[in-house]
Amino acid sequence: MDQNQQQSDSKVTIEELLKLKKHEQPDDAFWNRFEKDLQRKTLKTLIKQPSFKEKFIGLLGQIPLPNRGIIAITPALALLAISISPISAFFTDNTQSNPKPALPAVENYNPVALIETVSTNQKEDLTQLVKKSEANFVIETISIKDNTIETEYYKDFTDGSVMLLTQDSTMYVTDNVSLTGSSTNYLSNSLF
Amino acid sequence: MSYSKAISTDIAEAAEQRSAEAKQDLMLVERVKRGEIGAFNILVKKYRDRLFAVVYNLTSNREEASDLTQDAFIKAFRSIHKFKQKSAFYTWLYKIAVNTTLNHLKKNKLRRFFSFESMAEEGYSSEVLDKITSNGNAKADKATLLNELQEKLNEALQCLSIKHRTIVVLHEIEGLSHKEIADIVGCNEGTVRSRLHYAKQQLQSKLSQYIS
Repeated sequence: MDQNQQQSDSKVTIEELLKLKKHEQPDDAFWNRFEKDLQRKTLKTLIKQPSFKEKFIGLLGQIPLPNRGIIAITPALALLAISISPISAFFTDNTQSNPKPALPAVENYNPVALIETVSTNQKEDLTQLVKKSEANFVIETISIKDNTIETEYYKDFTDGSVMLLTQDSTMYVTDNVSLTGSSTNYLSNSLF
Repeated sequence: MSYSKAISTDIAEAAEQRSAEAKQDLMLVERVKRGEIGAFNILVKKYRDRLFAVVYNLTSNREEASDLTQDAFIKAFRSIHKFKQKSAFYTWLYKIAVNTTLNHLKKNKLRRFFSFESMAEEGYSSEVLDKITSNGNAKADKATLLNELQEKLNEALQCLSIKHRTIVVLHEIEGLSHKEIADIVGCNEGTVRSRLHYAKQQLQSKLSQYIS
């Protein structure tokens, strides 16, 4: 090997230096945290946000019957007044927001193998089941009472909370399952 | 074989391997579209390292890179039904990650903090360090030199414009071909080549103390 060859072999190129960056890799602890964070965020994207209509109807349900009519009509009249007045232009949103695409994964969700069937009236029982199970799981049917599905759900997903999937294929995450009367809960296989 | 030829062969082989992987990916994408969330998890596991590396090398900040990589995966999940299979899944995924990162960098131009991942002082990195020390460029021990080099590399990359940095990261670090990069960035191959040439010239002048 002549001197020139030796010199070129010992020469560091910019490509070689940049290749060093490829060897910068996070450790396992980082990936564990990454995976957990990503699962939590993915679950949040699966949660259906209650619409304004649903929230309004929910609120209305808490108000004594004779007052409901007045309360229901008041905002409607206010909206009507705004829409016919010149000031309505002020409230018009000119930015064309794209509607959120439906999530195919949720829409086409097919409940898979049933792994456990539980009858319980206690939230604690469910929490124990969640703790016993290594993986997150989906509850397909919750709180059936007089043919009505009752769900209480919260938007935040925290450790130990329960993932709910109602019969209309809407997914919810809850840490407060309200079970009254004779309730049946089906646990299907793991989501992740 | 010259270094540039070896690099070209590496890139060609990597491209061939990716093409085979692309077929497997399409099957997984179909499963996700049918509602199998677990299939998306397989895709995440497969691409998280590569995607994180791209984002990390664009931002030079591990926490930001972690968040942005997660955001990219979530965006991909939300819009997977829009993936029309005109390109490979990974190209589509890289495109989402690159766009997410570029938008973030544009929004946060003024407040940037850098942090870097640890790098084992063995194998390839050790070889490069040996070369640098044998050329009489370094007085410090290897560990110190490696840290210094990482810092200087990050600084040099951050001095490049976002579009030049993107090309360097995708080609020199991630090993993507000019064509793949053109697809991801949305320009032609000629532009990729010229940006790469210019960026490497800039880096060479910034890192001249390590290059003999």
